[in-house]
Amino acid sequence: MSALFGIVFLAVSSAVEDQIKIAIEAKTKLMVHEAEVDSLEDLANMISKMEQVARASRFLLVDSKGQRLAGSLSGIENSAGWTRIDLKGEDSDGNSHKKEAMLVLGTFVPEKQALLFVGQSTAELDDLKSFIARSFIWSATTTCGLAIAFGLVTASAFLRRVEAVNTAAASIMAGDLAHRVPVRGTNDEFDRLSQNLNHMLDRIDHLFEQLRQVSNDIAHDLRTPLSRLRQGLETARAKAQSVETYASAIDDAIEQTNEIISIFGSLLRIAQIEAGVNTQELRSTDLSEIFGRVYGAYESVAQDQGKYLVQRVESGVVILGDRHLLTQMISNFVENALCHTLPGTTITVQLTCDNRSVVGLITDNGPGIPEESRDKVFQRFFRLDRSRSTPGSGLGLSLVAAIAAMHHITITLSDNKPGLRVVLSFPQAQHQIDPSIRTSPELNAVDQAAAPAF
Amino acid sequence: MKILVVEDDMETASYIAGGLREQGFTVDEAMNGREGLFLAASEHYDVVVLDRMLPQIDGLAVIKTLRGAGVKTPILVLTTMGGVRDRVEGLEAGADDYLTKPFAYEELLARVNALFRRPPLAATETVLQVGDLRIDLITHTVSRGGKSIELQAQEYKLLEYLMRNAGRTVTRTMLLEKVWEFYFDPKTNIVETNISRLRAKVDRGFATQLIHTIRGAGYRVQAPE
Repeated sequence: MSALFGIVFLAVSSAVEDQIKIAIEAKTKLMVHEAEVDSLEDLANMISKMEQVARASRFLLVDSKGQRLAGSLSGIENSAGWTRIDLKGEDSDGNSHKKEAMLVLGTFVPEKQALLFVGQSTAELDDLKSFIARSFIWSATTTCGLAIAFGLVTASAFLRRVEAVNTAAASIMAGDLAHRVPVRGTNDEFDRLSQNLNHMLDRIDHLFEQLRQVSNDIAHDLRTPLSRLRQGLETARAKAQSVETYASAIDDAIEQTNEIISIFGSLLRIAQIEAGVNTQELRSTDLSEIFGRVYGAYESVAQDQGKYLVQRVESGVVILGDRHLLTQMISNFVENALCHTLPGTTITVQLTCDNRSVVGLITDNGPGIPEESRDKVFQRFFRLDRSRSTPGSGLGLSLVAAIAAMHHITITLSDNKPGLRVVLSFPQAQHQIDPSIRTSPELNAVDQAAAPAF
Repeated sequence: MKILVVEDDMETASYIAGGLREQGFTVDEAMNGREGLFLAASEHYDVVVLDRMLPQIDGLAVIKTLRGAGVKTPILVLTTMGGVRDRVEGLEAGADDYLTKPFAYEELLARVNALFRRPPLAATETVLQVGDLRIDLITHTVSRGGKSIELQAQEYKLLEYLMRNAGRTVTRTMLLEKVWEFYFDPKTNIVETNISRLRAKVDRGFATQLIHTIRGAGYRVQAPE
């Protein structure tokens, strides 16, 4: 800003000064020419007249002996060339007022052996200079003032918003986990920061909720087997008479401990899968192979139970996933179908891949799940009333739900009329291997039915 | 038969080491990763039983360092339950088997036994034989006493695993893992069902039983003495 001012100042003042010099030179030239033709007296008369007319101009004519002949200029050395002098101006009342700066050109007139001085006031130039300077100071002051004011306003707005985040953080730290950072909806950087903080808080809140859920579950479901274990041991200690009864009490205790360990393991596994929904490493996994393997594992079990297990598995369907967890998920559905149906039931395991959309189906024609309970079966420890007598912890489908969430699989339970129809909508297939390349007999065995062994 | 047990919990360590000594093994114990690494690298052991969580040097780091140094001793990793990625991480680091704590002693014993004298990785055997039972690993055919036996794919896999571990007890969990790749405890009796089917085909009608049930532990394929 000040550099710009400097440039303008210098450019304008040198241009105006040049103009003044040109004017002085023109007058000088005119008068020297006059002197060449006329006498010094005529020139002196002309100077006197001109001084009366042109107020801004002053003249001086000095002869070779240093005698002043005409003009009112004073205080200059008798030499040719440019000089700058200060005059004490006088107003009409004869009072001296402010000093007036003048630019004077001294010219030697050879014909008349005289020196002619022509001066012109630089008042205009000085006015201009001071005007530029005033303008600069004024505009600089205004600009700085505005900048400071604007800065203060902006800073205080930002500080207020930072303070809002601070307040939110403080109240969250104080235990109000539901508190969130206010979002103004302007979608600026600050809003996005607030939104991200809120997302982070949501995630933390969710994890915290899960942690609480797991502790509740552990307390709830381990209490029963633990007290049963304790009762058994106390009874054995009080009443057991022989080595055999002790041995059988110990066997029972080991059995109950195993149950406790298994529940505990399942809960930890669910918690771990849920906590890592977005961080688990997923790899290319042959889903067809998993379906085929699970079918193979339960084929004989179904036959022994007098049920029909049928597979219709399209080969070579590959998705991103965790092979072991997906195996556990599919097995869980097949086991549920086997455990909750009567002999003679047909259970079908299907995998289809159509235009990259992958759908798994596990259907049976057993008793099914009443509509109002279909959502609840995924909750921890939920068991249908009629299933309470069958073995199981009620954790299987919770684990399935966690695995599904981790793989972005949508599970839909519906009425198979009769029976249960489980639809697994997998995210897009990574690719499908050309079935003709595969030679594994297990996977190409489509529509294989395991006949029950009656 | 020398075994190194690297376990920081004293009670668990003496439970493992004591049981193994009763079985006639020579057992060395290390209480932390540094000591375990030093012993495993400088002494010759047949099997190393290694806890995954160890003070000073973590179990996984011990495995990686040993494998990096060319030590090929079979390693059984013990880990706490719940770990979803633990198994994969352990095996990728170079461990040979994996057992979740708490475990039944029979399970540990069976797995340690299975790690002994493992045949070199590229097994040159193409035929496994126990008594008069033969399986051809190339043609996937099974015969007993010269009589061909038809097996389903699952039954074949089950028999192959039992035969590869002939003379050793394999547990139900080991079978679930190795034959069906089930790393969880199914509610239904997959193993029992398939064993009984296999028995019906392999043992029924023959004077001597080759597939034995070891009560409270698992199964074993063994020819009579």
